[in-house]
Amino acid sequence: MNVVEIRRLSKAYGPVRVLEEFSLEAPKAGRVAVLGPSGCGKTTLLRLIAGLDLPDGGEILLHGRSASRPDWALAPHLRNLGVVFQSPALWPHMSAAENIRFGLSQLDRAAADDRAAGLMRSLGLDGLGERYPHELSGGEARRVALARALAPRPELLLLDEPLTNLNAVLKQQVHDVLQAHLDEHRPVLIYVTHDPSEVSTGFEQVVTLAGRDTV
Amino acid sequence: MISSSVSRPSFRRSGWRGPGVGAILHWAVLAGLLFGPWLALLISTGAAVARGNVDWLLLALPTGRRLSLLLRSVGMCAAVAAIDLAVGVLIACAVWSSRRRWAWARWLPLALAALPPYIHALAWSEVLGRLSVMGRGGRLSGVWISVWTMAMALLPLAIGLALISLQTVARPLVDAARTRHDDLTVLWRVILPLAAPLLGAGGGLIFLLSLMDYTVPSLFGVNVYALEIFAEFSASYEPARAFLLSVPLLAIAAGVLWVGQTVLRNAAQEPVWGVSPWGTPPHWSRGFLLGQRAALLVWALQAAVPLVVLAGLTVSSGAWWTTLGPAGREIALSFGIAVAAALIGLPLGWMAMNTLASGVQPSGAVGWAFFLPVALPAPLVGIGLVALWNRAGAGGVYGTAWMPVLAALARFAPLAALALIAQYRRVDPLLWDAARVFQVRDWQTTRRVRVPLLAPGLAAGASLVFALTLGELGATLIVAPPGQTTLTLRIYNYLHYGGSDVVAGLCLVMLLLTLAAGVLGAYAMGAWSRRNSLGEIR
Repeated sequence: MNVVEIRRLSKAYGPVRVLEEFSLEAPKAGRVAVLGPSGCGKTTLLRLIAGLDLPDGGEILLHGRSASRPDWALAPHLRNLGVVFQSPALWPHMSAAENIRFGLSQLDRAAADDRAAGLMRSLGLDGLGERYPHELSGGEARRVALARALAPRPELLLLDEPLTNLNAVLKQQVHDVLQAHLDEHRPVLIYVTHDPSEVSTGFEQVVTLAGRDTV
Repeated sequence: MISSSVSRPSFRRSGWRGPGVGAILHWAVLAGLLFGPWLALLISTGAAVARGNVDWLLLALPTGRRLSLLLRSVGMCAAVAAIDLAVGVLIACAVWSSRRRWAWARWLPLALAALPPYIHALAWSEVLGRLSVMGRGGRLSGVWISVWTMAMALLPLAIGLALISLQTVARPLVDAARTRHDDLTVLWRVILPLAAPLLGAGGGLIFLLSLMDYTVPSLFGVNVYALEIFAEFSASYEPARAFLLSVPLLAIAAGVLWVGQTVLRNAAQEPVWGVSPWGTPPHWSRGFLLGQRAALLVWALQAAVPLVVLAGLTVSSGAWWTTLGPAGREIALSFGIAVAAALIGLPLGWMAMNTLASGVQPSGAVGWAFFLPVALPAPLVGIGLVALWNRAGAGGVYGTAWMPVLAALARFAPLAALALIAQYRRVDPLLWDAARVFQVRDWQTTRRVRVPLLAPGLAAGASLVFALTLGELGATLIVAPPGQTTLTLRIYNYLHYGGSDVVAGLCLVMLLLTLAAGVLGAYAMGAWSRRNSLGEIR
């Protein structure tokens, strides 16, 4: 059974149609890349899958059960997903470590600390756990956001341009961490980017979104 | 990146060469308007002490009866702030997550924010009197009725402030939290902590406004410290004694304002650029929904009681036509004063915003001093204005309709600046930078970029100053020109000397005018905000 199934999904903002009858299927451990220029609806697609927006038409199913319809959406926290947004979206009143531990309420404190520390170490964020978001560089903030998304080991991973603001060395480091995580925990990955070179290998499906129409 | 480290660009930051003649002149006028009355009071007090009235200084130290009165006032006002903040947050959460096409209605609560508290007192005393809820022998009194009425009077402001506080929480921060926790947890752990600085400052403002009001407690037979000041001036006619007696209130106001400003400066979130905070409706728990419904019921009562009671009293007595005709001059005078205050207040607020919001000048102490007059007892402003203008060579202002205008400006011009500053901070800083890069002439930038982007703030500032001036009583009571009466004075006189049907008719006129200003302001804010919105995330 597919973990994610999208059937004829449509979404418009006023007169601008960003998604039109879009369909997709992703089995367990499936890796899907979504390519396209700015404003073509990539982020909208991720928001719809995450349950943060309602579609205008079509349906999203998770494990064969309806999760989003035009009139209803399963709450985002019940979808067992991790998201890296276009901006890091770190909560400014929490330290980096607290941001990462936010989704680990099912673990006891020691286990949550261990998991957060392990992720920070692998992402080159050692010693930055007590820093607040305004004390981090753009690249550090993005890696904290990735650690926050990976920490709960979600079944569905939605990444929106996760390598933005990273230099070549950091890109490779993040890529390696992500690869190890995918191999070990086998989540479904939906990876959004405008850069074709980021998705040249390792993806079973590459979906290209063309752009928007005006209704 | 969403963080507090984003610096606020200024209109003139690069290449700033110091204040020009115009700016100095503006600040001189503004300082004269805001602090002239206080300077006059200080001089009067100094002169009184120099005349040998040293023992008057003891009035500044509350002891015995005055101390317990002060403590009781503080306790009552803390209760008002707590009630309003709790109800305000519940309502704001309900309204905040309402459907987008009703987004403009979020600002409707502000329409009733400027309705004077004594009108609420009249309406609630009528309702509670009929229900025989309070008092012996039909006479309404009691601390709790006073607290409740004051809380109702300030509830629209609390709702508006709570809404603004929630709106400052950026959507991506809410989205990121929603993927891991239920919406109630997101509210407790992310939204409320991020909105806390503004909410706290709002609570402080409500506390101060209720602390300075004596009209509601006096109508319910409750003595409070602010009433003590008015009584002292009425008995002695000595500005110095009234000023010294008010020192504890001034100290509390200054302290609360300082704390509020410090908290706000350290607030760590960026504003939202006009997008809806919830893509999908939030899922609240049953208990929370019940709380929201109870709060919405309180809100409905808050709006309905004055409207229904006043309309009922007016219609049943047929006082509408008998009051409107003779009160025509008072209505026209009040309207003129309110329009003048709004028209003069806006450019003053604009110039103040240029300095306070742009970071050209250090805004800590300057900002604190600038906003302090808002939180000070209104009668003292009136007493200070009389001390300032009732003297030879003062330009013939005393005894004219300009005195209430000056009183309104001294009290409310900072609010116009506050509305503009709030709007300025809502605009993406890059838009100001882009305007600086592409501008040809400064006035063109003002006309084509600043005014359109700040239009919601202009609408909010104008309607706020207009409505508050319309209902201003504390200072107007002292500075009203001889032989002329404003609408509030007429209501106040009738309230104390009988004629409840006439009072109801006049209050209804006041309510409708305030409501019209509020609805117009809210509509303009909503329309301009929508036009300035940068749209949705794609």
